[in-house]
Amino acid sequence: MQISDMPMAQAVIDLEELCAAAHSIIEDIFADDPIQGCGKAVLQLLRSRPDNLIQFARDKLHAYPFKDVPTCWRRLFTDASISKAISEIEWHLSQTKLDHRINHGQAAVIANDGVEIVQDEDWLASVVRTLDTAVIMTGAPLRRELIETLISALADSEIVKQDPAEDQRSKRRKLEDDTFPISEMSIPEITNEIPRARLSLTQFETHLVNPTPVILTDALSHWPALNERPWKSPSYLLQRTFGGRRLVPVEIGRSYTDEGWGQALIPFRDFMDQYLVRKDLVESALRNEKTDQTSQKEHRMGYLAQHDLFSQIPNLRNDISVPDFCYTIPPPPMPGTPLADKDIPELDEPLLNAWFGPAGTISPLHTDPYHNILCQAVGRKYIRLYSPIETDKLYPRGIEDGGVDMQNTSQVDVAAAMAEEEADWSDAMGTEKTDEKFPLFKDAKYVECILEEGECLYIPVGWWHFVRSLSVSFSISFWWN
Amino acid sequence: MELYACGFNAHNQLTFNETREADPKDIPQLRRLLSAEYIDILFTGWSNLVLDVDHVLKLNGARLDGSSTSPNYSTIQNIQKENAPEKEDVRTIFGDHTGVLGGLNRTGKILIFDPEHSTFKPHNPPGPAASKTHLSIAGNGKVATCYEESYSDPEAPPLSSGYGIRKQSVSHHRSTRTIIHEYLSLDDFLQHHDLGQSGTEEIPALAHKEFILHCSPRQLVANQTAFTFLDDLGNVYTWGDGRHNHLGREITSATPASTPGFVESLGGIPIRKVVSGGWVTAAVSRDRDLYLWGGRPGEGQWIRELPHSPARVDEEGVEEDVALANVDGGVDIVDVAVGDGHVVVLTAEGKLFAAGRGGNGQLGCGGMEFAEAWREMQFEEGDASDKSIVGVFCGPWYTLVLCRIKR
Repeated sequence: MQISDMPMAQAVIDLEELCAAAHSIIEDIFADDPIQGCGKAVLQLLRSRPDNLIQFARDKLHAYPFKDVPTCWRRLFTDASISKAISEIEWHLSQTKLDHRINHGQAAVIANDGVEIVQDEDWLASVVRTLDTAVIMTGAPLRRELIETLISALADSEIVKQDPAEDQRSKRRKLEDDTFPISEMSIPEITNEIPRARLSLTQFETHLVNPTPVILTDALSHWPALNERPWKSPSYLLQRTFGGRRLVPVEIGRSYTDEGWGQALIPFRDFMDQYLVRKDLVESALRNEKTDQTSQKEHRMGYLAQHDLFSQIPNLRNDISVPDFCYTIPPPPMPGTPLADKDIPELDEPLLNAWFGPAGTISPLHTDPYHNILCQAVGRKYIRLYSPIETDKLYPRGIEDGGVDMQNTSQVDVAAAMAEEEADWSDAMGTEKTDEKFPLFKDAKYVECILEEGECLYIPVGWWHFVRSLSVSFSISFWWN
Repeated sequence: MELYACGFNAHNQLTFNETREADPKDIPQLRRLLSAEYIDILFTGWSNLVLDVDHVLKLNGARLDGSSTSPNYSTIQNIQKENAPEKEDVRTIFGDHTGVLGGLNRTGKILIFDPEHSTFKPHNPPGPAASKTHLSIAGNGKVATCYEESYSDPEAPPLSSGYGIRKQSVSHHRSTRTIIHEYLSLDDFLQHHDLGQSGTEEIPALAHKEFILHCSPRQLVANQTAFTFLDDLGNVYTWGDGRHNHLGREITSATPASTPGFVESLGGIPIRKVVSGGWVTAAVSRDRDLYLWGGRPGEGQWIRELPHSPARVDEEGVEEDVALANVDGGVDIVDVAVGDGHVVVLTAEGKLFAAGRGGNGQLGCGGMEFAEAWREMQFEEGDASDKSIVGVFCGPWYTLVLCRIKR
């Protein structure tokens, strides 16, 4: 490894200063900081026992229903995680200084009470995991900027770029074919197609007077994600997620209405590797999802679904832009439809969500309380829409055990219904047919499409939608009202 | 008597007669802390604890200002009541992760701890208040209290849904019952107007909930989200947050999580003691059997013996609500204690076993992160055979062991 003294030393000092500053920020607690609610006995351990405090906060996060967790515990989880991350960075910086001196023939220093420390293969992944867990589990109140600064500083630092392990990883990436695998999913026949149109903003506003679904072509042509910074390149996505170290929440299982469905927080690289890229794993998952008897151990489908990836990773946010259409004032839900009675607060800004997964992912038939523009940045999806008028033929769920309101989700398994229609028994779940269980469903009117890469679909508020990916797909939804 | 301890010591709660460091180390194996004629343990909080040492109450660990490096562990003065000739001794103490908060005296009055002066002072409720036999604070801040009252009503239908062992009324004119109140916080409780007599509602109570059980109270304990009540006949009732399936019983609309429900699995088994911590509750029967229930789904690691542990469910297929524990080949269990994530048992053979979280040394097995199966606890000097162990107690992340000196 060829290192010239100056840049390395400078990089170390910059990170060191940042870490020292971050320590001060964490430890000089303002009187009105909600973290004060934890009590002094807890707060005095922020520097010396961050791991213990993360455990303490994690327990408290589970002691309350998610929406009721007192802010002090979310603050504690966040600040203890930052404290832990900074200490880890500082330790590795000091080791780097030692290595540097070792390379130049100076005496080796043994750290930690005489036990020589073997440097972690990827300590950066560990630091990023600590910080991202705090962001995803608590929203990192008051500390989003600080965490983003820390991660950017790490990503940009010379330490990372000179890391020999990093070199090897990037070499490996270039050798492989830099695209997602092609899937072999059959394309459904489209009979009642959603119209395509190229609408200006004014034309769209006119369209909103009587809102119906429409595919807007050429609305995304300027997106870097579709041009110079293509999201269909796995290596590009890895690079934007700090070598794939950033953690993402992944839904495991065929559909969130199925038993055995669960969620996990895993590094972006592991998600891509196990659920998108590895052909053998992807195919076995697709096979497993077709039967009822998948045990916990067998490989299942993974879907990065409904996650605000763009506030977590601002790098990616710069590759897309909010469609102008989302700055119009759309109509409220139709009177007489279920959403008309609900009190949905007005959004100040459109809500962005990422949807990234393999072929075969399913979003079961449901409605959302907002108008939606669903954009395809990678791959294609089959989408079927039912008007709110058809609600009584769609068998909405009720309020489940534990008080969870599932009325926006239909009981009908549309994928199974489609398979039965096509007499494709390999996709039919169980033995009870849709027609028998839900007799009115076949009379419900729908429109459908195959949404291609570069297109976006306008879904009016309250319209039932069923979505199935036909290839590796990366969609972005923009919700507004 | 001697007191041994291992585990979390970041507040010097386990440091006695030694220099108190600013950043103290946890204790990985059972260490002798002190000897005295008489020792009892009254409060085991996350950041401090209270012992009765030769009939003087002593507080060790974090202080009001969070500091924990005063040279000697302080003495809690017994409360002085100005007009009372006798001192009103503290019988039980309650608190949370911030420290000691208060106690109950022998006549059931509430005492509030004054950390500045290190004393308990009587609390004056805003209205008539019943004398409480028990008060317990859960990790989510909720408070449960209970008291006993006798009443006369030969036609009274049972108001609880329990089917436990019933007291035969000697005369059907007077019976005894327990009134349980639940509050959303300790502050709520301290500001309430209690109902002196349940049913005479001249002054409304701020109690979040009221439950009536036809029995006498023996124990009321809490963990992070659930309360467990033991009556004098050995029946166990649980209630609290129903989300994690850790109440040791089925949750149905007839037996909801939020109301004390009888633990059917222990029906007919006279339980002598219950202990609770984290998401786990343990019970020891008069026949010296140990029962466990709880555990939080989503945790990476489970004590194997818990009824819903993945290992147990995989093996046995059936999921029970309560598991009969098997320690050291199925020997009798004399005592049990539960912290936030670990369980400690004392067998009839005088051995100590522990399972669960161990990262702070609370298992007495070094820094072992987690023990799925029972591990014998280790002493820094000697072992269990040269000691006469009489009791085990757990703080959230540490363990205390009480011994008589073997002659």
